Amino acid sequence: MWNYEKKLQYPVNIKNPNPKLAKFIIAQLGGPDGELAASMRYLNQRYTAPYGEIKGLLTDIGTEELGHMEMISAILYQLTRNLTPEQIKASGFDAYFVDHTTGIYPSSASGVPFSAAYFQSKGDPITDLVEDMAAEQKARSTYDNILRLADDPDVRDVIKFLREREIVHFQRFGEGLRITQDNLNSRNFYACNPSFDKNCGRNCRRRMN
Amino acid sequence: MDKDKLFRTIQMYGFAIDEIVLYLDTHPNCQNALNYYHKYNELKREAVEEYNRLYGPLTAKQVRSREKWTWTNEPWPWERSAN
Amino acid sequence: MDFSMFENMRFSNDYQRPVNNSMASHTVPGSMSRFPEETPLAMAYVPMQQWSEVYNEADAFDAGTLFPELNLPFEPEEGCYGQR
Repeated sequence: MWNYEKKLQYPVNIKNPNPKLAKFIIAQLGGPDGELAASMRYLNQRYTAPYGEIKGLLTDIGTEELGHMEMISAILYQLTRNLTPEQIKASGFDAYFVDHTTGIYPSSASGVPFSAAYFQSKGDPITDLVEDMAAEQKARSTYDNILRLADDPDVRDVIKFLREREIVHFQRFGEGLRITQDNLNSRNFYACNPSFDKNCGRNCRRRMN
Repeated sequence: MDKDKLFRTIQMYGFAIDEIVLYLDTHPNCQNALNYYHKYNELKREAVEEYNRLYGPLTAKQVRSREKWTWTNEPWPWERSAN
Repeated sequence: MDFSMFENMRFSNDYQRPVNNSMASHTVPGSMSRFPEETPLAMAYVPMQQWSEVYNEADAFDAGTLFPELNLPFEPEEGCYGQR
């Protein structure tokens, strides 16, 4: 189960409200390649993961992504403090404002509400880990794009941190895939699914010792 | 230690631990990583103990006051003044 | 199958990519790494990270990682030149 620590993993201190930035940064909250999607993907995939290392990895990265979701929400919250109606209209933030005021609501940059359709939990460890590697790259690319668009240094500092975490996660999921491979028959990794088929990989299992 | 400095220290130790935990998940036998984990876990535990004693709880299970429920004290982490 | 053999894999210069005629005499050094010959096809492989130096906790916090070899910042102005 989950515990909560009353601190962000990395500080968010945005001096200047800017609803224009909020309009696209929200992609990393409720968008297809955002932190909520990442967290839900990993936390759901972990149940049928066949090896302890993978269950641990999916749990730990899934949990870290909840912390990142919190950081993105903090950025959005701080970017939308003390706005005047003129600022709301001028920035194009008015469409979001009408439905949510300055409430934080997970949706994409184009206003589509968050959906489980953004992730898959396939119940096959090779498939799930490769999906996870792709997800981390998608998130990293999205952060690259945010860095192209945002020049506020307070925002950039946090975004660079979050982007680097995606690169580290990609490496870990890649290692998880290597561990999975080591527990399968290398003559044919696809002969069976160790999360479902009873004797899959048992004869060639070499536990990481 | 000054509250902000102690809080930042706890954040840094916490991050180091988050990072080494992921490394250990895929390298469960790496002695170097395990030593690092124990070192920073202990450093963080001490820092949190000091923070709890001087400033307040960082989790709902760390409330020490018997007069007032301090967990809900402001600010909360998403507010600028908390960072 | 023992995959530890490719923990030390090196990037190979065997694959040469020719560039356009204005630089006809210059080829770009290979970016295709050589995997051990028995490496099964139709699979993705990421090298296992080996323990090395880590940043101190303040530098790690700034960088977003404990590990210098994973510190890969966004530098679009750097371009593709000057790589191995």
